[in-house]
Amino acid sequence: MQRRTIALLGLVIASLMLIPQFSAMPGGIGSGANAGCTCHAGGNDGSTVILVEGLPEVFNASETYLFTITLVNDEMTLYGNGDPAQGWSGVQAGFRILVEGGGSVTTVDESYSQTMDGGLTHTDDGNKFRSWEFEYTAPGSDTDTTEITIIGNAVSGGAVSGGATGAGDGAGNDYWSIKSVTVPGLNAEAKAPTAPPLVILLTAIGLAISVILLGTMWVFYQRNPQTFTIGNFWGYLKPWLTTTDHKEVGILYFLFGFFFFLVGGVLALLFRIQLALPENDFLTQQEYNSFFTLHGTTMIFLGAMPMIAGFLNYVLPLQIGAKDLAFPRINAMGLWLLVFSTPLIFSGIWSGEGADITWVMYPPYSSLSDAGDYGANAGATAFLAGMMMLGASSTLGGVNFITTVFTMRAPGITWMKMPVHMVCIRERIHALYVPTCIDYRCCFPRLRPYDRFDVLHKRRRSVAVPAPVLVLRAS
Amino acid sequence: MPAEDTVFYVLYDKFMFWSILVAIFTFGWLFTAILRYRDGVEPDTTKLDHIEVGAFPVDRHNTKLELAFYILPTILVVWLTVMALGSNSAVWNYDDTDEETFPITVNAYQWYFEFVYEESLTWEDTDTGINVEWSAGSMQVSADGNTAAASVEVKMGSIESELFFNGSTLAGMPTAMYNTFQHNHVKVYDVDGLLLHTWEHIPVNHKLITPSNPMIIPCDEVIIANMHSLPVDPSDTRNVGVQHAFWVPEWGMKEDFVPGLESGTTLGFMPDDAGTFPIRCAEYCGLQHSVMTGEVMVVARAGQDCSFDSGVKKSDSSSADNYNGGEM
Repeated sequence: MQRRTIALLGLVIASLMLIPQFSAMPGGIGSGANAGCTCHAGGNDGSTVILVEGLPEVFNASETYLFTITLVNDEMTLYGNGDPAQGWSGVQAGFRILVEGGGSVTTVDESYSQTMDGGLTHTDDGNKFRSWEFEYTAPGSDTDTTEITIIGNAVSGGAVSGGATGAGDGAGNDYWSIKSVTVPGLNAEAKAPTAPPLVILLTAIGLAISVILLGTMWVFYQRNPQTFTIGNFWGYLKPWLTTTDHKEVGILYFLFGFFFFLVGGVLALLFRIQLALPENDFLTQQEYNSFFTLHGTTMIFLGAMPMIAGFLNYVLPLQIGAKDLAFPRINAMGLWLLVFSTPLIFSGIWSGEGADITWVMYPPYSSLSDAGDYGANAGATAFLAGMMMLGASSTLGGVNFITTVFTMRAPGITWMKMPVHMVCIRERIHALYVPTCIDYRCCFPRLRPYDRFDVLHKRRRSVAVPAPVLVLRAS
Repeated sequence: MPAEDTVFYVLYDKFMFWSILVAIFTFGWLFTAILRYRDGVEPDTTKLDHIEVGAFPVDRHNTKLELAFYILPTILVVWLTVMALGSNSAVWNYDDTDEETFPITVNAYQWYFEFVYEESLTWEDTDTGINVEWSAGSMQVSADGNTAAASVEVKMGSIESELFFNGSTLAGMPTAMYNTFQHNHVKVYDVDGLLLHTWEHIPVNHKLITPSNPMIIPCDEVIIANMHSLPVDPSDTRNVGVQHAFWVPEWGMKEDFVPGLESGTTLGFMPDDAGTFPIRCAEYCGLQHSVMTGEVMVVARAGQDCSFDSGVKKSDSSSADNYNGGEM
């Protein structure tokens, strides 16, 4: 009983293994009783190469394309060196073409081909060549995808054509090969579920943040695997998340800044790929605009400025002999405003399109998010809300640094005794933080017809702007 | 107006010179300090200004040096700023008292430029050996200097006709309808259809639109471009147009289009050499900003040539103050 089961199973497995071979040979190259086209045997030993030239990468609906199929076999020689006097039958090769997914294929010279068993196959006349010209007529709808399966058989052409033992006509000396060519329509991708590259990228970045968090957890776990609990881990993480210490906030600023420095770098690399070649279609216009907008914003507001802030947080109190910054809790608030502004800045990507208003965000273009192609993307609204949080964050930071330098110098450190470095930094805060972040748009002074609160007024109808931000902007 | 003659390129050289000087000084000092005060090098304690760990370096205090840090860069920056204002005056304070000015309105839309002619312009190619004379009642095309000329295409308003040369005189000449309010052109081709010579009359209020048409301006005259940004669809009251910028990179010249500004912005410049130069939009203006391009074509008025040389060269310009009247 058991033996019979094993035997049956073996039989089933053996037949399963044979199936691909059967289906790869659809009844030989056509199963009709036509000389040269009867069931071919012989081996698909891979020595025959099928070359297809002229098929388009994507087709336009109903258009006709000329293409050529050439069989190349360097291993075999023609029977009798191709001399009919030595018995060469004049038969060189054959083809069979199966078309799926719409469209049709015919030979340019119609005497070379015939329709047989639902596919195109060669005739006697077509046997005499190893290269044929075909016409491919694309389907009427360009959302279709045509799959063309080409079976090519290079034969040596021995003995008598059609004879049971004749070489190259079914019994032997066949060297055939299969090639499948897929030609999608111009709009074929529309059918497949796809996501814009920006969505994929930003999702990957979101995943990276999770991986970093898990990594932090892993490092903590490795310190002492025996006593690890989630509660323990929270006890380790919580002081970092709630810290007001200037050094720790500075470190967090730096980690944040460095992470987004990498994000901005990836965005830049992607749009540089687009710019690497003329007429490139790696990104669409829309994607390209979003990419460089987010790149600029990320590099400046999420990369460079947090790094400056982190550096100042760490160094400034040390250099002037202060215990901490003047407003430690406001300092921490500045950090977390920054952190929570980033989802706003990037969220447009998942809601449709990423903001495309460049990092300078000039109105009126940036305020025209309901003007279709002529205005900004849907993502611009959330982006601007995030920008206001950023502005609040860096303004709070700047005010904090200036206050610290003014009021918290250690005894004996007068203005003239302060390190030159600190003087530079104070000036830098004045130059960079205060004007650029309170309202840097108005610092480009010439002839802006819109007053400085224009964006705010237009946005207030559609975006819930946090009240403190409004106060800061208006003051 | 080749690029290397313009005030902007002179400025570029001056800024580059000072940048390199400042960079050598700054980086030199930086690396000297890195080497001199690095760990493991015994500080020189014989002098007063040695470094002592844990002590606030008050002894190293040097008021003069500190003030120099403030004053010298300030002087440099102020000087460079004043010098850079020369480029502003070059394009804004043009000399419009001169009779030879050519006003033109440039409108920017999403996403093309439109050139509206406020004065008519009649121009003709020079040095082709062909000459077109067209005035009230008579038209004369003489191709004595160019034997390749084979056919002539004449356009008068909406009427176009093609004529053929017989030897050097024009056969089948129609009674020329000279009308200065129409857009007229005469184009001479050779047997292969290659354009040899163009004579064109652009009437007042004629519009040329990029990218299919270039901006055609006469040489040796002060061009005063009045620039407006307009919405594509005037009925849409939400959209007053967006910012663009008219940038001719080869001339180093750029000016913004500002939507909603009734008087527009202006740009004054004087090209003194014929040629074709690219125009780019240099202010991000939306989806097709990257393809908002065009060309400016500097031509000689009919019967004239671009012989005048504004004389502005790198070698003889010691200061930006030399530039006045927008001559570049």
